[in-house]
Amino acid sequence: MNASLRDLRRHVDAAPPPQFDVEGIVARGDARLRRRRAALAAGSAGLVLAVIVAGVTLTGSNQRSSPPVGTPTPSVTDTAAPTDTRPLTYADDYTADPSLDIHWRMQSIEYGDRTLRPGIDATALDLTDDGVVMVAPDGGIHLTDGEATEKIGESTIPGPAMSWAEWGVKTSTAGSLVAWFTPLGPDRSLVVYDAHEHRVVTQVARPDCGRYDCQLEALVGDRVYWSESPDPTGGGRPQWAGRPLQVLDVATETVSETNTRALWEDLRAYPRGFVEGDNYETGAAVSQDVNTGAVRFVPQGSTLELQRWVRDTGADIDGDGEGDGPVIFGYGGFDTTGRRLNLRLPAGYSPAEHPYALFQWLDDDRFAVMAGAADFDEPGEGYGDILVCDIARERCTLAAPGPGPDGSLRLVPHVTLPN
Amino acid sequence: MVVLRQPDHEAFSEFASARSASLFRTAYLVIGDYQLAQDLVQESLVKTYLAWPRLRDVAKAEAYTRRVIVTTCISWRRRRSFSERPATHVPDASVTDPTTLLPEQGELWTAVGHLPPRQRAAVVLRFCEDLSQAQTAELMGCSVGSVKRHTSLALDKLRAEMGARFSPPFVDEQAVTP
Repeated sequence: MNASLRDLRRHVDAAPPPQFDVEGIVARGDARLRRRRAALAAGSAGLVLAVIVAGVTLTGSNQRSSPPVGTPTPSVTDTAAPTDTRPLTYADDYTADPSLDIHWRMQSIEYGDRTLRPGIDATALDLTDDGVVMVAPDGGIHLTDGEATEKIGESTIPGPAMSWAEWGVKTSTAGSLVAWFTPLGPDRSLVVYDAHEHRVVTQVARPDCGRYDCQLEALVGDRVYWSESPDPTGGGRPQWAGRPLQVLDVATETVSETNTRALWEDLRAYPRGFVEGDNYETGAAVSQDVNTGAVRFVPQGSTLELQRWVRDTGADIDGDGEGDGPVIFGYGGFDTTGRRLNLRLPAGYSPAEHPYALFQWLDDDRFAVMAGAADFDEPGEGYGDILVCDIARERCTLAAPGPGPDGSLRLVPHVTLPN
Repeated sequence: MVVLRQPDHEAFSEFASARSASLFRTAYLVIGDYQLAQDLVQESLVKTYLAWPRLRDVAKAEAYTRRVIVTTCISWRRRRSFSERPATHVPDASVTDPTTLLPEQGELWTAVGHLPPRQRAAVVLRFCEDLSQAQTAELMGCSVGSVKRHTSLALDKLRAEMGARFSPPFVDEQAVTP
């Protein structure tokens, strides 16, 4: 007998619906309202404290990656060709296999002016200063510098439609460190690997992950942040902004408790990130490495503008997108050194209808964005175009035209895989 | 100054009691698990409760809740924890899924369960809930074109998995437009 989708409707209709505890739902709602009121009351005081603390605690140090803001960093000039510390990386050559949980397998990877053929089925990409990190369908983590490919560890087996940010592997926007959690089990540990030295530099055995599971949040400089995974049913899930975190300082091999506010301050201490909004002092620091969604840019006239979400009520939006009030877009921002972003689109370029998502930094001044990478929406004009934007030169160039509106997809580091 | 107003308990309770069964059907179709569908409805009703004071038209509360169900489901399924749960958090085996008492759930139900979250949402909203492309796009928070693409990919995968045992939607179903 053939099955039709209408049969599913009849099947579900035949199932007795459960009874819902409406009073319990109201009680949960009231509890959240109380928390929000408390957060609103504490918000302005906390903001003042954050600004004060940020002024005195930007002390991040890291010999492996870009130095904190305040230390002179190389900046390109019009007379010197920039040198990539990380070549532009993407994959157009892939196969689709609907029998797999992960439907996309990269056959080759464009890596600057080279094409890498790592010889494994890679399902996701990430970058270090010393090569490309790939995750295989079996959870194996591989590193290739274009000459050789080595397996450096094992992590969570990727699931369907999971973003790179949600997986158990992290790199930083600069440097050579890679961090991951080993697969679930009594001996699960946090591993930090140095891709330059080709060795594990530290491990944390049985890290504290609370009730559910560990979730890597970010690798900033040489500090690895993680948290308890959200409740898989969503119940009692803490807002991103209030989530307690653990942090491993790789240099001192110490673990301590911290919070998202400290992570934001850490992001501000390194050059490869952005600060949203019109006020550099109070704006939120964002990075593609943190599990709060893609960093988006949209064309506005002849420029490309950093886009953020705000409530029309003026309330902040937490990382999970919850909150009251319709969402509206705000535009503009700075890099973390305080330079206001002013990014001219290429002359004559017809921008895509899709937002452009940040996916990698080439150096401290230049970053790459791809049209459509934020949500892999329907292909259209300009879909998949990669722009490289130069903050110092205040312009973007078309680095790799998209594969076209025929449904082809382009895969880039960090961002969510299409589903 | 942001003011958080108190929802109207009575009106919300009346709405939740009257519409929870219908909302549960949508939740069950998009998430495919009886227990998780209950959690999904409860979570979505909590969000609706918080939004209640600013829902200008209470008659639209059901559509609002349905949209929360779909977007929350997609969000849950995108999280790592959804597909990889620690051994300490297994479902309570003593809780019976009433749908298991029904006749054979069928290969199609299993095949739909293999679809990625957006494709599953698109196909069940279009062809099980009989929504138009525009209505589906509204619930999923995406464009009509995106719905078309997700639906097309989903039907291709169902055909690939089930072959001739899958009866694709009738042409008139696919032709439904706003």
